[in-house]
Amino acid sequence: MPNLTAIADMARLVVFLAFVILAVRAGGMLVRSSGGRRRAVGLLVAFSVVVSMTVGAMQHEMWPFTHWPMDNEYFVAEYSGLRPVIVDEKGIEHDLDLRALYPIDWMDLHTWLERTRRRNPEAFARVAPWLLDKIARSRRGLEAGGRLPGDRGPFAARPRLVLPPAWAVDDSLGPLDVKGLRIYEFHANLDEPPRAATDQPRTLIFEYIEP
Amino acid sequence: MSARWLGRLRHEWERLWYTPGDAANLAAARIIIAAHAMWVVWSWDIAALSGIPEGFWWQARLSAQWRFLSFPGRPGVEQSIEALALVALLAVLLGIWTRVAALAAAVMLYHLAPLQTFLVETDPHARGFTIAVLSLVVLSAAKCADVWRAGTRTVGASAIAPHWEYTWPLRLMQLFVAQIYLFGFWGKLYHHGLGWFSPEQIGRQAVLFSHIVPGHQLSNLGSVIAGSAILTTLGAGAVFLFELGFVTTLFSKMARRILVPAAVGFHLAILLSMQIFFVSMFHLLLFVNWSWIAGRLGGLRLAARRATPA
Repeated sequence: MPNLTAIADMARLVVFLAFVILAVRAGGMLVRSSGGRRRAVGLLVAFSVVVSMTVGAMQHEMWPFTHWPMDNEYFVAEYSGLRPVIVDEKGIEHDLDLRALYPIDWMDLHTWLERTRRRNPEAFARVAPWLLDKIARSRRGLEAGGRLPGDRGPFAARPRLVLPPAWAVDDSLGPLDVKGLRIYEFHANLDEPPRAATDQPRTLIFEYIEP
Repeated sequence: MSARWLGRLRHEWERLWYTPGDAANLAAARIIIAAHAMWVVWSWDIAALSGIPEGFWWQARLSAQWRFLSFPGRPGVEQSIEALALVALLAVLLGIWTRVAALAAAVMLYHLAPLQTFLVETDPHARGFTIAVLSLVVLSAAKCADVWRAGTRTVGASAIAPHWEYTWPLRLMQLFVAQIYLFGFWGKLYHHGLGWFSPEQIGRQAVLFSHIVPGHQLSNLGSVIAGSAILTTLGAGAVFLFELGFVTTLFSKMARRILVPAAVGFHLAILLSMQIFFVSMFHLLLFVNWSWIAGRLGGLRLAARRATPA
């Protein structure tokens, strides 16, 4: 049985290579001032239009030709999401400033955790020590220098989800000894006014406490 | 009858792609694409994602890794590629070895961009490089550095006669941007039907973030929208009409004047309500008539010089 996913991946690569080859061919005719330039450009234009429109119409990924699925999700009133918290040396939970995960984007980690929970729950234990270390180093960096990793100043492009700071240099948490990471699933009703995080029903799904 | 329609279709196709256009607008597109891509590369440490533990990569298919030549555990190599991509983009920006540099930058960004999402998927569409990769490939085949390039005496944009060579690449780049909204519309319809465009759905989208991270909103616009039946109804209608209609900017100046500013408003409303920053919104600058602006500024400068007493 052939691996259809692998074949599809190679087909996507071939489409991109064909796009590049058509561009190189058309560009080459500029240099040689060949009479076929208009035909080569026509072919590049037609290829770009047909492939990009087909990808959009069929709603199949063929990046960099894409169907832009970013905000097409449909929400029912009942919503469940994941929320990470950190645990200090006294066992007290605190909010995690999601920027501390840099370079990992929280929305990506959210999706990764959801899939990992369903299909490969052991994977969390393999990455949790690294995640915890990263969070602890980020917190120490903030306490020492006033900046989180990846903070390239006010003119840098923001990440996809703009997250106001949960931590600050002079916040009430003080020097924080990060010892553990917990991931909760919380439940909300999108048709009701938002509740404080502490009032949302939640279930612990992953936990890692430093030995 | 069908021959007449085919002839008409052919005529419209030729008009869309090959009407003579200004060199300055294509040169401006070259600068916008390169500057934006440099900004995104500089802003995010994409190479570092290659250095995260291999345990994160369990979903990344081997065939997809080969498709992009993206493998775990090579942050040093990726950093070098990032640096090379920045050099190539700078060359595109300045108009030096433009076509070769554009192709090199496109290939390097094609390789780097999927690292941003390899944790979960292989399509980094909303991370800033989709329009860049497509446009850089197009620019590699275009006469995009006839004006506004470094190292040569400035040639006045108005001194170069309009030509079809300056139209088709810009129109292709504009098509790629218009597809963001067209496919956004079609995707909602394809997967969820007209129900997506209901006031109820707009209200839920608007308050989603305030449920995910309570107490950390940039503004209370989401709650204001969700709390008003009029605003959610208007929002639903506006999303439907805007996303469906944006593609008309390819054909109509009037549509460009209305829908491009509307798109900026659309992204600002999403930022303030859903807290989603769409880094490619700056590609809307591709729809600005830079040739006209340059002409106006040139005319003003000339008038100021004439008005100054010797």
